[in-house]
Amino acid sequence: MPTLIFFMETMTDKKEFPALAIAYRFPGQRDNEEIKFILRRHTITLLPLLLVFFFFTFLPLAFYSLFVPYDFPLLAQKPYSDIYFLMITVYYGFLWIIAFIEWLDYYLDIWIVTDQRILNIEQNNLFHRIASEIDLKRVQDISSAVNGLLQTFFQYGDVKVQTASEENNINLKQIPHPVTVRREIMELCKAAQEEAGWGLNA
Amino acid sequence: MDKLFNKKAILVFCFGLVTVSIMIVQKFSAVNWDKVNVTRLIENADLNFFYGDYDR
Repeated sequence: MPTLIFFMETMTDKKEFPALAIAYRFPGQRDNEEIKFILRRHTITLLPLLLVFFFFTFLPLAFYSLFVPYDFPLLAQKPYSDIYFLMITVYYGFLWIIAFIEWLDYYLDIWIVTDQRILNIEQNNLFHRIASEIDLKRVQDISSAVNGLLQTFFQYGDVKVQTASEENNINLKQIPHPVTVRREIMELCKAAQEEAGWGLNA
Repeated sequence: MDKLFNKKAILVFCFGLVTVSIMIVQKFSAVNWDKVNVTRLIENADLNFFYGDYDR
């Protein structure tokens, strides 16, 4: 349980998730199935996106103050300045929608680890969702990778869960504390495989 | 996945969208369309801007 709370604290909704951990049931959850942890990408992965949107937010205003007085003098006068600001507002409307779609892409990528299986739900774009699952009993290899300065500094990385089948593998991307997650999943696999009488990696 | 979906985020998104829509209507009605002359606007633009000639 302390491990569970530890993972919940790394989530984006720090207040919401501990409550969800107790009350939450996902569609298709088995009666005897217990959620161990719910994982999302590390919040820091939103930083590049945030910088891009910051740039595009100030782009039309910077253009107006830097270039319009010299290159488009008429645009600085009414009624043309009003048209320019109308266009900026429409532009911000689109920017807002794109920002929301990008945020959805982040927020709806989710990995649920239960005591029986790992569920992978990936939102590729607004209307493209992939869902897959791996039975813990069938897991053969688990590897974690922390790659690069940013990942080392903010302690996030990928965890790859492999089965005997080449196709049915799950890649937990950019999740917080990948080493601990790998260790925890390994423990769960061991328990599941022992329960089935297989033994780990038998 | 209904419980995992953030209702607050949807509300913030809708609030932003409504605000932008109201602003668009306001800005649209603020323009004096009778005085707008697109040809004059294009003719007045310094085309050197597009060619990157800043030797002025």
